[in-house]
Amino acid sequence: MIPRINPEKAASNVPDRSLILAALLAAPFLAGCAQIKTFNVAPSTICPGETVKIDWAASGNNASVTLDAVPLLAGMGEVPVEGSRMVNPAESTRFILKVPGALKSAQREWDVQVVPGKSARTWGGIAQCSGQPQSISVSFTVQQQDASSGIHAELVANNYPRPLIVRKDDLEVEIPPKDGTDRFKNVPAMGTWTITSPVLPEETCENALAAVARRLTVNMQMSCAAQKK
Amino acid sequence: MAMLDQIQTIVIVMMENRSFDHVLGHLSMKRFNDRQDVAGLIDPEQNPAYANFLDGQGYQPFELKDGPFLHDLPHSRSMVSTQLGQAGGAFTMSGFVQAYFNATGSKVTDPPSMGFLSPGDVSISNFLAMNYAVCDNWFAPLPTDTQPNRSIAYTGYSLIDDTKARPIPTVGESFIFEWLNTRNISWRVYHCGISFFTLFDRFHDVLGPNFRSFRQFPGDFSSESPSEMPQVIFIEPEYTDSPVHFGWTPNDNHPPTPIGQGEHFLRDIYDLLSKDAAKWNRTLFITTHDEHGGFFDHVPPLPISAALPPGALFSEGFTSTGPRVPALVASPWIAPGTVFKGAMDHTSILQLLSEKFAGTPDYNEEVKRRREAGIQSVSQVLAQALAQPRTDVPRPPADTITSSVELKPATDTRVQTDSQQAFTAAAQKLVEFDRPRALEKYPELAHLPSTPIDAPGK
Repeated sequence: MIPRINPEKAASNVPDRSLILAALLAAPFLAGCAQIKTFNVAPSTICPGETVKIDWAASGNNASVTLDAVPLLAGMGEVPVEGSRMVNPAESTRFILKVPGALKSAQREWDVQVVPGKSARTWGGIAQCSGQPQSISVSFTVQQQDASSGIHAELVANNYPRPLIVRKDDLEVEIPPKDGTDRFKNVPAMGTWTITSPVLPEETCENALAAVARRLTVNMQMSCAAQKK
Repeated sequence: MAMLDQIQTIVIVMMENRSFDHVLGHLSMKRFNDRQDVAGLIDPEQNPAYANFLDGQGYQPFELKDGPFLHDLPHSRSMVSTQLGQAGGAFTMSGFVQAYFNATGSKVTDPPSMGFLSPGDVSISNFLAMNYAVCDNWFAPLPTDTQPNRSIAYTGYSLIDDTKARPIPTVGESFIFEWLNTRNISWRVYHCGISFFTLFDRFHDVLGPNFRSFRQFPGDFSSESPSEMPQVIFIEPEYTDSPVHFGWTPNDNHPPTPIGQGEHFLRDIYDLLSKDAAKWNRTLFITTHDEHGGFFDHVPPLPISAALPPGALFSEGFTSTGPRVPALVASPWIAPGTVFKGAMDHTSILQLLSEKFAGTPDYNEEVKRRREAGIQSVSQVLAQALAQPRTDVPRPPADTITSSVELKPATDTRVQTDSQQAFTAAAQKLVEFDRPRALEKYPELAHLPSTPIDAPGK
């Protein structure tokens, strides 16, 4: 059968042509195209009780810019066209900034994770091969905007069938294939990490990179440092 | 190929904007079909080979429930370049999250670009893959968006590298309708709403007798004998980016439209094509997608360049195909569970038509060049054909569509996209060209805003 169509229903959903034209003609004088210039929520990963800062700047129908949270948080709702707000989500939350426009609305979403909710996370990047002896490696930085200083690396796991050497600050740990370590549990996640894996005797750089699909990652189980009393 | 002699009607359906892994990646997953013969996703939530990155954080593919999207996914030429990533001269397929963030400004735990669908949400695509042939190395010909890829599909060439509100230029005598007409091959286009071919400025064709509403398809199919049926049939969905939806719900799979209605559309086509055994035995049904639409796929594009034809409106040639797209081929001559692993793109269809109707796969010089670079014809899927047509006609799952979209007025939020503007401009020109005939064939255009839409594109 071809798709079933209810012409009456379909017709009722199509606005009168004059209304469309009126909207199009009037739109430039109203608030035709809404725009969100910036929307940022930081840190994206926090511990219970910590605060995140929400910054935004928009243009358009500034009477009805809304900042929502899912699940609901106190203090959300209509906000100025530009602003900043500190909030304290008790659980992982999606923040949504909406700017309606007659022709074009704008919306952005930003998720904040509150550990221990969904606290396992992958980190890494595109690997390069260098050094003598040769190894493949990647460095990445967990920024302050990504994780609060209270977030620690409870467990760091190696998902590869090859050894990884993981370094953060002065601590360097070799993680056997398909294994993990808790040696970083007192180390803040924030900061620069390096993952290295030696090019094996039977490998070339290209083989080694191909074996890891040109990326190196670790899986990090994050936790919150003990709260000070 | 002798097998092609058995086929009398070739039916082509090109949907919009989904990647292979997004639609059919589940085929190889243990918890679904566990098809190790298909190059789909393996343990996607854990496999580090699929990780994409944003600010050092890794994102894995995840099971996405079908439904409307909050945003269209980025798939312009520059965004596709970000998605493909490059390191040491190789594509890393690691930038789909970065591109989504760049385009939408949204930083979410599960970016839709990394989502894949389960068999329950793509029940007809899954059904066709399990009961007929899946082509798991079919790529969009160019790493960019709709118009250039559809231009290649219908001509072999693209004179453009992006989607804009302008008539899509074509290389002379390359257009599929001209090619078919020259060889006295009968063809027809069945369309839901306005046809994409309007964007090629082919107003005589679009208003002509070969273009018919999809509503006429069941009647035509029933009343025409196998020998009366057109030799080539294009069936077009209702495009999400059409300026007016009147009597049709978008079913082209283009986000933010969910995929459920597109699955419904494919099921209706399959049901109709397969209901008469005599006709079905002489039919080859091909369905694919124009491009990946910004969804992750783990297989790097093929290193096949695209020629820069004289008159091209861009100067930097392409050095690869785009990402893989879902492609399914159904016919009673095809055994259940067939996988075709040869390299393919949209010119594989042009090769097929040329083999069938001109005795050579070389539809034109560019199709020949791509063939010599490794692109194979759809006819190769039939190289593994059965000696006799199957007598069983598998029935697809009943109506299992879980998503829906509401009809929206023309002033909705998507009116500013380049593709939307292109559809609107083409529709306006069609009405100006011959208003009575345009409104007779496309009554919804009576509701078309006549004021040019002059809004910034995305």
